Amino acid sequence: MRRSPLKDLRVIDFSHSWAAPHCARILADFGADVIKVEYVKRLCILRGARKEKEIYNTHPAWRQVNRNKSAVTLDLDKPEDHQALMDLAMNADVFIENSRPGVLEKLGFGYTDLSAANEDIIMLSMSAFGATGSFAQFAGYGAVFEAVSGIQSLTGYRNGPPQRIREMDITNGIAGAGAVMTALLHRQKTGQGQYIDLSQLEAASHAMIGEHLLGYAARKNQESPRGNRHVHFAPQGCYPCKGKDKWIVITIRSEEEWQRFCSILGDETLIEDSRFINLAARHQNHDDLDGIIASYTQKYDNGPLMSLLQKEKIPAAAVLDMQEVSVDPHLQERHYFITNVAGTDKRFMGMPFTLSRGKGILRWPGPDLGQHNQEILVQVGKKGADTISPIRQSDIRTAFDID
Amino acid sequence: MEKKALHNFLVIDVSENRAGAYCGKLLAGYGAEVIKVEPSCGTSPLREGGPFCHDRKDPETSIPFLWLNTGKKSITLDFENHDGMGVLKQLIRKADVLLVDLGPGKERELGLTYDVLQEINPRLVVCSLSSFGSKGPYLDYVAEEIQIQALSGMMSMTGETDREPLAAGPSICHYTAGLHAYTGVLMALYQRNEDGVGQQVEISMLESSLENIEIALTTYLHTGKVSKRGPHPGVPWRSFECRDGYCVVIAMPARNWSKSADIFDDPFLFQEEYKHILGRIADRLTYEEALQAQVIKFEKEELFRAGQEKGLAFGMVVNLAEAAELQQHRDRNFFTSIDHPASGNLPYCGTPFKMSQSPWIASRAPLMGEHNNTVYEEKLELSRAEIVDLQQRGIV
Repeated sequence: MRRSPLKDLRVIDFSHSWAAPHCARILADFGADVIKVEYVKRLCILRGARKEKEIYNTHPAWRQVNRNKSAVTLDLDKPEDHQALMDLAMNADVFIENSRPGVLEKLGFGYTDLSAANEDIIMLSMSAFGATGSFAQFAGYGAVFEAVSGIQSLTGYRNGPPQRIREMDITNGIAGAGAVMTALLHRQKTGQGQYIDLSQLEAASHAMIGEHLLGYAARKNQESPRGNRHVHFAPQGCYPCKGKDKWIVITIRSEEEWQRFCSILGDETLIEDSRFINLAARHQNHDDLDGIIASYTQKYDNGPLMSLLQKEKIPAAAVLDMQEVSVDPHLQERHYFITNVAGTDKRFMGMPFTLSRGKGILRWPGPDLGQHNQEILVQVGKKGADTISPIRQSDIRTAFDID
Repeated sequence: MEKKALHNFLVIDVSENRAGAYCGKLLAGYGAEVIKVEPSCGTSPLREGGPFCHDRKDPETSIPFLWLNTGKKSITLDFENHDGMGVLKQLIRKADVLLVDLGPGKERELGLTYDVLQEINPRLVVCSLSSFGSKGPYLDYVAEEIQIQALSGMMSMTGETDREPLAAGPSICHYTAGLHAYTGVLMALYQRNEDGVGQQVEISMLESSLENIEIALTTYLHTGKVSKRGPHPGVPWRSFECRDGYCVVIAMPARNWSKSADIFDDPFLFQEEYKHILGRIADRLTYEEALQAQVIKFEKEELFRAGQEKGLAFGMVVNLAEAAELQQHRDRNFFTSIDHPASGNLPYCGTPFKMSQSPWIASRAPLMGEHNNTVYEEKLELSRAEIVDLQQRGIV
């Protein structure tokens, strides 16, 4: 029988933006009961910049990153709300936050406060640069970590400026979930909770370029962006196909693959061409080779060309955009997307991985503002259902408001 | 009290690529005993590929191998041989976790599928990593990192609008999968500690990678809007050229942006219609051009610090040399020195996150087959004669 592995786990998600909420989303996908705490006077950035028609409730970003969570709004300046959060924390297993170091202490929810109330609680802090050090008070988003870590210096067109890759929020969010799981296993064995100081700069550096930083230490050579080329194999590139903005990426990993590739293109003279006769030659004459390959690939549609090359065991893939991903036959056949979500006709992304006995489940999309105020506040016993006042529209400020 | 979080877990790592190896590295770092199983003839891809420490091909100094196998033991074993597989299965009987990434076809051929493994050891957690999962039309497709970036949609969103899609420099899909594998394996162990039964964690690198574009993809699913490569929607929210490189200027937190009027000497940037991000987005090109004219006056570290002092999320683009010397990394001892017989003493990134009660263990990658004796004699209690026989037949 399948059962969610984190069923019965209670998590307080006192975080905003993307990385830490993504961490809590993973725990929620696998069964944890996650309570998202919000502040009406400064909504999360994922609720967008507008207020009209309660549009902050329907942003796809919010719906995805906070799915499966319950939402409560609290104003910690009010003693009863302060107490309500402490009551929630007392019954929680995990408390997640990503404010600047010191902010939670100031609010009365530092690890010392939390562990005094709930001895074996696990607290995950996901600050930008870590809880200590000379950058501790600095703020950061994905674009900052990519830059300050050195990650961005490795991405770009050849001889071009550095380029963004992805926000680092996802990999940092997964690292956060990994950290929580590490602490849960520790607690399962010892009964002991703990404090986790996850620096988003460090987690991103570790996961993305740990090997490059080690390489620099060993060889003192400054890597520059390779464009779409491979450090070892040649050729590798992104080549144009028929149609507007249609591309295919191809990698040739051996002499046998090179010969098969030339045969498929129908140009066996390339096999004997001294410019491309071995790996070193193909690296040296990569520019010429890219031009020749492009002259062939542009005669094809990228999907059929991918199938043709894959049939001959050559790594080739169409570059898909969001629409194409959404109808990709492989994902369809695997029933990757989730379609039957209560209360909405929208499709959602599936699970990041699957467990044969441990169910991942999408119960509901990211909640409306204050959607679970009643049940949560009544649950902690601080308020009777009749005393909970509705959210006043005039109190609402977005993350982008400047007043 | 043994403080290591994952102490007492035995992990058999037969993975060949970055994703599985990174998962194993994290398991070892937090205290598991991880045994890397390497082919007895020839070498594993991470040992062969380089780059190498001294620009000389030496399987003991391949940098990806050194990085991805810290804290593991190594045995050599040809498990494609029938008797070799017998030895591997003896190990699997004692193990808590098996990491495998040989591909669904090869795994079936070798009998390393979950239904078989489950019978050998019902408590086992099997983490199967592959490019596309264990079923579906792309099942037998071959893929390197760039192919996953392409099919997952990530690549269509990276690079400049008018140029070809661009691959990320780092192996982001492999490492994303490695992090998912680590998390999934621990969830399975957590569940097993409650009821004693293992399970399979399946990582399809394609599906794992889709997470990296969760907002863009969900936006398409819900609104039909296709995100393309090009600038971040926010203004300003990108790197700008400065005197000695590139500086990241982000007008967040929004309430602090007006404070940068003390940094940038141009009232145009702070006039009424540009106070809110929506006004700046409406006039992106003009606004960014005016800002660029200001940013070029600064050195990157000067502007990075000036912005941060005003509470703004500014950054600077650093290269690897600068990253290695970053003050914050020194302050937090992010790099740990690890000695290795072939590569010498080198600084490695240490703990990925600091746990107050569960220390990270920094120790070197093993030499090939370094732990054959310990594992075969002590763990499996094979006799000297059995080991010699296996060695003579090239299985160990």
